[in-house]
Order: sequence, then C-alpha cells, then structure tokens
Amino acid sequence: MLAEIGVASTVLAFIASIYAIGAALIGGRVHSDRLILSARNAAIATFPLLLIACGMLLIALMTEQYQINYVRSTTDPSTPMFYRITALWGAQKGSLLFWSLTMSIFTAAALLLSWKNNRRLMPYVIAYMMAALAFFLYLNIFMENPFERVWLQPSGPETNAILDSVLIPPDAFSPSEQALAADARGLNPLLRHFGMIIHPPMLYLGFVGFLIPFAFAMAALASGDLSTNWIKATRRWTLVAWLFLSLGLILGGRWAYDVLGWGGYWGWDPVENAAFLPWLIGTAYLHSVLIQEKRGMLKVWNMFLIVGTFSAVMFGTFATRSGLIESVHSFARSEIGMPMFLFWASITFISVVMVLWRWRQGMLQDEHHFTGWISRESMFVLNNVVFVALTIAIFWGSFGAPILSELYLEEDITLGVDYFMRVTPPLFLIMYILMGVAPITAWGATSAKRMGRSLAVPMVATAVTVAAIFITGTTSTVAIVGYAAVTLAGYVAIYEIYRGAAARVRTRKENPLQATYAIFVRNRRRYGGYIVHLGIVIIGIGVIGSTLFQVERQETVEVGGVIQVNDEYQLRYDEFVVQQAEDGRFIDRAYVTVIRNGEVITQLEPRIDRFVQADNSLMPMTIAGAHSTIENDFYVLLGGAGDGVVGYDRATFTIYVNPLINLVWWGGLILILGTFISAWPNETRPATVRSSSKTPSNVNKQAGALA
Amino acid sequence: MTRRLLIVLVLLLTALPLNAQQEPANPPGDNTDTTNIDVEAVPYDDVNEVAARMYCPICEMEPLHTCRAQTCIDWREVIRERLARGETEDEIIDYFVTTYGDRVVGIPEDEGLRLFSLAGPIIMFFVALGVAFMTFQRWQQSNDLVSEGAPSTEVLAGNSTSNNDADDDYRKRLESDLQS
Amino acid sequence: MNNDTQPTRRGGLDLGSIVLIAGILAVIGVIGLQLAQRNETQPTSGKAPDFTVTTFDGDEFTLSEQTGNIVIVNFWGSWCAPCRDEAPDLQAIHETYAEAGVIMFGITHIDEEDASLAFMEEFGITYPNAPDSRSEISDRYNIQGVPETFVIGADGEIVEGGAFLMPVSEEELTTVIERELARGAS
Repeated sequence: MLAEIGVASTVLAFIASIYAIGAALIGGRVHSDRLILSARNAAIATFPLLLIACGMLLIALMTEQYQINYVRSTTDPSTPMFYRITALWGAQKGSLLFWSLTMSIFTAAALLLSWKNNRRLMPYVIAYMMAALAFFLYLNIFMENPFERVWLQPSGPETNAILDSVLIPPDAFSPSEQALAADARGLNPLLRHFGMIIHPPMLYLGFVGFLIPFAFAMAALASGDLSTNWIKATRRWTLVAWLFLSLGLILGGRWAYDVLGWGGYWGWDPVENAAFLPWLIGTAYLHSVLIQEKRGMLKVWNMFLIVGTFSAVMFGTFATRSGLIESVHSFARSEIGMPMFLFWASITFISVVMVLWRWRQGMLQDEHHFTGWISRESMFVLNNVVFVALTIAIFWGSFGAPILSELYLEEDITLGVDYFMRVTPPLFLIMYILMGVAPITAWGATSAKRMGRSLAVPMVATAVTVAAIFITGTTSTVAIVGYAAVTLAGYVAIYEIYRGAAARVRTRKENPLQATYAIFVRNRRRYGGYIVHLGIVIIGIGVIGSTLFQVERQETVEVGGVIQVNDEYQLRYDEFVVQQAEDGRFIDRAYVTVIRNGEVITQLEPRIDRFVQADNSLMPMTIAGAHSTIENDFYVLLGGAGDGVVGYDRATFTIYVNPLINLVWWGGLILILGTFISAWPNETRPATVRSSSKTPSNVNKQAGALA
Repeated sequence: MTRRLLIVLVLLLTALPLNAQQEPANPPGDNTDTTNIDVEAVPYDDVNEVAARMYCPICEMEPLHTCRAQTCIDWREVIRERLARGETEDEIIDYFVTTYGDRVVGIPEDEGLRLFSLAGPIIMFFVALGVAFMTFQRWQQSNDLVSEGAPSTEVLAGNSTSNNDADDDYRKRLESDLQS
Repeated sequence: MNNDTQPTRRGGLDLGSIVLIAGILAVIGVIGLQLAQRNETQPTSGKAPDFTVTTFDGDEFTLSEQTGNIVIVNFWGSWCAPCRDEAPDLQAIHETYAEAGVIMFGITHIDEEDASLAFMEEFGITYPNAPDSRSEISDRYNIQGVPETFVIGADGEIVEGGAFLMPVSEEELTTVIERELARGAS
C-alpha cells in the first residue's frame, strides 16, 4: 500500500511538472494569464505530492517494510529509530527523492513569494524550474525507484524466481517477513553520526536553492527583461542557498573530523571539491551582482556567474552520483550517470548560448562608467578573478588533470593534498587581502589617501596582533603573512561596524548599544555582510592554526606507560576494556589521561566500535576521544590504521594536537548569524506599492508599439 | 603605474607557495640510527611522514597513512623496512613511483607531469587577470568616449541610486527611438 | 542609452564567443568520454585485449603471439585472500592441461615482487607469472578487483562463459577448457 501510494504520488508530481512546463510556455506566448496561473498551481502542487511520496518512504522505513528494496538496503532490525529516519537520504534512491522534494519546496515558495512582482518573467521561471524537477523525477521513477520491491514468482513446481519490481507482477507474492528481515543490510556504520542527519539535507538545500536565481536569470534572458528585476527578486534566495551550502560544507568537515579518524576535516577529495566549486562561484556571484544592482555594470559576467554556479551544482551532483572519478565518498555506481551527464551538458551549453545571444543583441550593456582604479568596482572585479581562479584550480586538480591524464596520457596522475596546498593558499591569501581592502573603498573612485585613512586603524591593530603572535613564538613566515591578511580583514570589518555606530552616537546622541543595533537594522545587508566576513576570518584563523601547526604522533605504549606527544603534552595509557552495546556491536575502549606540563588535564576514552554485519563479519569504526578548547583540540585515536596494537597490555595510539581548530566551527556559526542578518527583510515600503502602476509588461507593450 | 604594481604584487604572491613547503608541522622523529636494520626501531611517525605523500593504489583517493586496506598496511610495512635500511624519504617515494606509477603520489614526481598539473591553474589565473585588465581598459575607454561628447545620452543615464531600473530602460529606449 | 558609440547589434559570432563555445564543448566532450570509459566493464566476449609483459623469469610474453593455444589469464595479488584459495586449483589446471597446449598465465595486480614470489613458492606455482605493477594490463581488462580470470580461445577471442569476475574453481575451469578443446578438435 505504502509503495503504491508513494509511486502514484511521484508519478503525479512528474505529470504536474511536465504540464506546468507546457502551460507556462504556451501561456507566456499567447499572453494567457489563466494558463500561466494554471501552470503555477501545477508547479506548486508538486510540493504536497512529493511530500506524500517521501512520507510514504519514511513510514516504510520506520515500520520496517523490508519488502521494499530500499528499506532492506539501508536498515536492518537492529537499526535505531533515529537512523531509520535519516536513512531516507542515506542511499542513492531515497536521496534523489529527497532532493526532488527539496526542489519542490523551494520552487513552490519562490512562486508564491515572487508572483506579484515579476509577472513578465514568471512563465519562463516556471518552465525552467519544472524542467529541472521533471528531470530528477524521471530519474526517480524510471531508473532509481525507491519503491521497488522484491517478489517471488513461481517459475517451476519447486522453484521461485526472484523479481525486483515496483508494481506487482502477475502471480507474484511477497517473501516471508523473516526472510526479508534476515536479508536486511543496514546502513554503513560510518553514516551513524549526527553529521549524517544534517549534512546531506543542508547540502541539498544549498544546491537546489541556486536553481531559483538560475531560473530567474534564464527567464530574464528568454523574456528579454534584462533589468535588475531578476537579481532583486532572487537576492534573498541566493543568500539562503549560499547559507545552506556553507553550512553543508562546514558540517561535512565536522562529520569527517569526528568520525573518519584522520585528525582532519577537509581532504581535498573530488566529491568534497565538487561541492566546494558551486560555493566558490556562488560567492563570486553573490558579490558581483552587487555591482550590477548599484552601478549597472558587469551584466554579462553576472549571467555567466549564475550559469556557472548552477552548472557547477549539476556537475557536482552528477560527478558524485555517477562514479566519474575515484573518491572515498562515491555512491554505488549506477546507470543514472549518462542521463545526468546529458542534463548537465545541455543546460550548460544552452544557457551559455542564451547569454551570448542576448549579449550579441546588445541587451547586456553596462550602464555606468568606470571612475577609478581604486574603487569598489575594481575590487569586485579582482574578487571575481580570485574566485574564478580558485574554481579553475580546484576543478583542474580534481577533474581536469586526472581525467585528461587517464584518457590521453600514458600515466594516470593523482592530484591530492600536495597539489591543492601548493595552488590554493596564494589565492586564499589574495582573497583575504581583498576582504580587508574592499569594504573601505567606495563606489566610483576612492583616493588612495582616503583609503589609507580608513585602513590606518585596522592596520595598526593588525600590526600589534602580528607582533604579539611573533613574540609568543610563531615565527614562520607563512603563518605570519597568513595571520596578517586574515586579521586585517577581521579588523576592517570590526572597525567599519564601530565607525557606523560611532557616527550615530555622535550625531543622534544614542548610546553605543542602541547605535549598533540601529545600524544593523537600517542596513542589514551591509552590516550582516561584515559579520559574515568576520565569520570567514575566524574560520581562516582556525584553518591556519590547525593546518600549519598540527602535531601528529603515533606510538605503541604499554599499560601505565606514557607517550611524549610534544614539549608540553603527554598521554598516559590507563586501562582497556571490551564491552558490548545493546545494538550488538562490540566496543574496544581505552582509557587515557592527558597531561600537560605535568598537570592532568582530562581523561579520554578513544574506542573502536565493531558492528556485526549480516554475514557475521565485523565492521570497525574508530571513534576519537577529544578534548576541545579554544586553544586546540587534543584528539586521540585507538589502534592506528589497522596495523596498530589493541590490547590489555599494549595499545597503539595516534594523537593529534590541532591548534585553533574550534575556531573553524565557531566561525561557521558566526557566518550563519551574519547571513541571517543580511537576508532578513528590511523594513522598507512594500514592493507591491512600488510596482503596481508601473508593471513592466504594460510599459514595454507600449514601447514595442513605438519601435 | 598602478597596473604594473599590481602585476608585481601578484607575481610576488604566487611565489609564496615555494615557502609553504618548508615548514615542518611536526618536530622531527626519533629515527637517527641508520645502521640498525631493526624494523621495530622505526617509529610510526617516520613511516607516516612518507606515507602522507602517497595515496592508496586500490582504494579511491585515500591517503596512504590512514588507509586500512591490507595493501596499504603492507606498503607501510615496506616503507618501514626501507627506512630501517637507511633509505631516505625521496628514495622510497622514487621506488614506489618507478614501480607503480605517478598515480600513487599526491602530485606527480615526473617533471613533465608536474608541470602539466601546475601549469593549468597558473595559466588560467593570469588569463583571468588579463580579462580583468581588459575589462578595466574597456571601461576606461568608454569613460573617455562619453566625456568627449554625445551629451544627450548622458541626460538619462542619470541617477545610479534609482530603484526603477525597468523605468529607466523604458525611458531611454523611448528617447532614443524618438531621436532616430 | 549606451555608453559607447559603436553599433550594438552584431551579426554572427565574434572570436571570443566561438572560443568560449568551443571550450565548453571540449570540456563536455572530455567529461562524457571519461564517463563512457568509467562505465566500461571487463571483456566477456570478443577479442581479448593484447598485452606484452616480462615475466618474473625474464622472458617476454605477448598474448597475440599465442594464437593456436588456449590461454588462461589470471589476475591475482599476494595480499588477496580469495587468491590464496584459488591458487592450488590454478596450479592443478596447469599441470593437467599443459601438455594439451593450454597456457596458464598469471598477472599480479599492484603487488610487491618479493611478496609475489613468496606466494608462488608457497603454492608451488610453476606456470609463468608477470608483474603489472603500473596496472596497464589491469586497466585494459577493466579489472574491478582480484582475482579475475579470462579464458581465451585459440583464435584470440574470449570463450563463451570464460570470463570469471570472481574466484574460480578447478571444476569450472575444466568445464570451459574441455568444451573449448572439443570445439577445436571438431
């Protein structure tokens, strides 16, 4: 029953999306408001339909319907309820359906919220969004259907054939409950972590969120309305998508750090990079559209940026799900690779051609003039350069060079950490310098003198900070330069907030707290942006600390013995126990004591969980014991990478001291706060008042009559 | 002048990665005795330092020092034996690359392949910078052209803070149509 | 309306646009090619991919020069547990059918030479083996893991049912070999 409703719901959503495309395009052509409205309703209707479909799958997971193949492959009788729910996006089929649900939520919201102000764009917006949704639903219905069930069909007097099918084949019956339950495989233990709950949904929200500005941009190109209407309509969507993508990346890092046991949070793995690329182009886009909004410049470039962002999103999800390259994150190979490739290739190609088409027609001309080398415009252009360079460098490292070498060169090459840590640091450095310098430039020209004045205080603060860092023992040139650039950007942000508040305190006699609150409320975008920059700065400090100054030590020690980690830290091995948890897993648990400069800091319990698989083999999962402070993480793993000793008398430990690593997570929180502030609606006059009498569609009809 | 300064600055910054590799993150390991072929005396840390530059040959993009596959465990053992025999880190890496190919290290050892790997992003960075400069030039040129003449087109280009961009567009088109 | 006095309607494409479109098509093409290649699987019929290797004994072996004989190519590694189970079976097949002209040939997959030789000594392997440490031959056969065994007929084509993408037993190989020998005789 569940499967039937689920499939029916998905199919209805598919039909609705196809109908919406047709009705929207025809309605736009013949100017039938009724048809366009009908298309909109069909598009919005996909949301409740997909909600039902996902709901059915969720109920099936929660009530152990093992006849459904997806339930059998992602859960087993011992799976806790929590992970039953998250199994919804735990494997390919379910995650595709969940992705489609996310898409339908966003498109429904976008259509409802932007309906009144963008009538001229709407037919094309609906068409593009529904085209994307229809593609993913096609995959879900015909290729990776989560409601597929296993059946037995008599094929002889004693034998039964095993069939996989969504609908009931003739004469078929369901295998017994016991047989099904025994066959259940359960989720990979590595996925049993808080990160699993939140990382995929956040990433999907981020990826799918960029569909909205993309659809609006394409609609602007298709309809010819190339004013900033489409940018203004989608500004908050871009921020929301960017927020979720940032969150997804940070949470992914956190999950890796907690669970995978290699002391790090970013491995420059191709799948990680595939999610990073849309973030990079998306950040460039986020900044670049500001120029277009304020000065009417870089119109063509912004078009390419949003096309690039969405193309990167589609490429990322295609590369991850298709097994295009080798990665530790790969989904199981499947046949959806080719359809996804074709979808990515066609939207990229078609979109670029459309941008070129309108550009050749002269409809994407810059409106205003360049007024100075030292201006916010030029800073934004340099910003674009840096992000594009980063995108290309990372794409080349994960995809370009390895793929070309595999296809055309004698030798396959692998580009890993060594490559990325050579190529990206200079670019990140330039990025932070720009982050420090750009906010104090003005639109139009800024004189060098004025810039110098605005930079004076932050530079002094930076110099003091850097001197302090140097004096307290950090003398490496790379670290000093890195910290200098990052802290300068931070001080500029803080100083600008201070200046804004100070001005109000002076002129309106408000107290500092009131003033600060007031400037945030009156100009959320700008001051929220400073908070976001501050978040990035704090993440940067954490990254520099934990990358350049990480200490790693692996050693085998006897019970009671002590490992000298570095000049300050020691680890004492106290005790070892073997336990069994209620879900059947065995736990090898070590008790260790952290000693710093002779004083006991804390006790930790690094352990190895061994999960019993269906075939009675044991799947190990290493869980670190960690002591986290602002200063560092003291992070201990038991057993080494499979070749260590684990036992009552001796054990091997791998210890990491990660300085400043918690700033990475705290910086992430600040980033979220800043984005919220930026995206929060301003208390301006309602948009409907502004546009009611001046709807572009009326105005342009008259212009058309005159031309 | 500013342009040249910018180019110099950029070139200086791209020289930074040369420094990045000289900073040892860990204090040096304990292995000092090179005549001792006792494998047990080679600390994990020394093995890991070599293994950290390599990738597992059968897993997908897994660094060698954290990989748990049997092959990786065996390879770390090989590294340990060779370290005990007194080979240097570079000699060991050379052995693996000669035997198994450049795919086992995180950046190719072969000069040509290394150039191939690094050239891509460096070239694209300068191309991107070049495009940016061309954009600046184009802006400056159109700036000069406008300031020379054609006053009527200036009138409506007007206010940059106007919110009604759609209106501006319409008015501009209307004016130019009426003029022609 | 415009801030430059050049005409704004341009017919056709300029160089920049052509370069851009060509570049995008090139990237798409390469990615597509890679996808197609990654989706390639082991050959289960048709001409067996040719190769030339130097065995552990120092002799050169080229597959295409063995036409007229049945060749069984087995990919293995000393680190692979199922390969250990399989090894006695393969040696037995070699001993039984060597006189009939059946060539048993092993190829090691990402294996240290010392370890391979030790493995061969442990199981008394007497048929020729060669290292493929750079995985060139494994790539040609699109190996997904070891052990995998391919029975190649006298005509150089993979025999029907002769591609074993899993450990193989003496019985299974015997069946295929006998059938192939009978076909050759007729």
